[in-house]
Amino acid sequence: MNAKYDLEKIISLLLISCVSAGLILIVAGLTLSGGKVANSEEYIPSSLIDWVAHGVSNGTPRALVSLGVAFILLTPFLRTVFSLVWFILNKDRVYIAITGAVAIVLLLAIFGFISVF
Amino acid sequence: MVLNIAALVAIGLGAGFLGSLSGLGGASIITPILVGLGVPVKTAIANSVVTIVATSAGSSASYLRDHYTNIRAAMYLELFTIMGGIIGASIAVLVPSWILYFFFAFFLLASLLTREKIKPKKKRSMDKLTVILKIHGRYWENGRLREYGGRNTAIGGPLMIIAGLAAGALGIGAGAFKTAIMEGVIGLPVKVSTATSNFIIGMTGLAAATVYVKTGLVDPFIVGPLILGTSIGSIIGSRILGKISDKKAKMVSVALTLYIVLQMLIKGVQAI
Repeated sequence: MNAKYDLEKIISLLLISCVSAGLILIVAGLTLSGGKVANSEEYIPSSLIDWVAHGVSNGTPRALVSLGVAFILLTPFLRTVFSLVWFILNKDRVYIAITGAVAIVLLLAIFGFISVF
Repeated sequence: MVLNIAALVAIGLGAGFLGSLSGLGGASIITPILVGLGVPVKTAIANSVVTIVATSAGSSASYLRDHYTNIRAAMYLELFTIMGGIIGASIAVLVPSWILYFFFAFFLLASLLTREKIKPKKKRSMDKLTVILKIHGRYWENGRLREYGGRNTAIGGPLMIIAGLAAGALGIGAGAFKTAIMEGVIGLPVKVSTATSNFIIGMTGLAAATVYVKTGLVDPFIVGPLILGTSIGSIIGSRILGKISDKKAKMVSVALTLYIVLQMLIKGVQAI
């Protein structure tokens, strides 16, 4: 096994951990909500981070569900960061540039700086 | 339209099960089901796009462990799909709903036909860009180590913008289209294409979701139950998939695609 497979194992573990944590939080939040009516409020967030922050500050059940969804949503970004670190450690210049570009675009999108409308 | 949590978990469960069994993916089923229940198409798309991230992450984990996923190919292709995802989601927010119904029907039908038509060409040597991008690898198959190399990455990459655009605009994974490009254009083996496509789908979903959350249409109490249901449904579906023949699985896929296409066309006509 070469170093490439180590990255695959690390990312596999990361994906399972984030999805499991996210699902546990969602189940906890939904259980605490007692099966209330789903679409309960109108709110226009300015970014994904704002959406998560609003959910978390909005009482226990919604906070748990929002955090759970956030855990799952941010999993692809986290695995990009892990890959970037791995490519830096392995001095793979081509993929430092490619993964870095993907990470920057995602970061800008997550904080609401990329918008066509 | 008001849906309670139990109903949303059930929708997710059914969509995850059928999506996994047919290979269409849960999100391709969630949107038509929600639309059929009277949910506005943009709300359905915005919430279903988030569920893609969960199902992609869940299924990618096992593919990564088995070394089927080519992380370098994924990183390169994601450069294009995330751009497509953001543009597609932005277009979906701006255009009238009837266009989305027709685009949904057209894209599902095109994906079905593309899957049948595009077959991998004869093996050729890697071109210069593919060598620079190091898009090659190896994996174990039936006890033998199989090596492979890509090609045509200069064409395959930009083509992924279309896949990202459709995924972002329709809130689906567009996995069939991505796999067709990876197999037919870049020349990756079937298992590597499927695994890498699955991996990329989550990233495209996140890119599109960053646009949809800004519309206020994504609600944790809609998305949460859908994610839960889809995750469970896709696990059940994948277990059953291993027990039924390829012919039956294909029949389910074709029948379901045609049904969704018809439903979306009818909705589109009604929305004009």
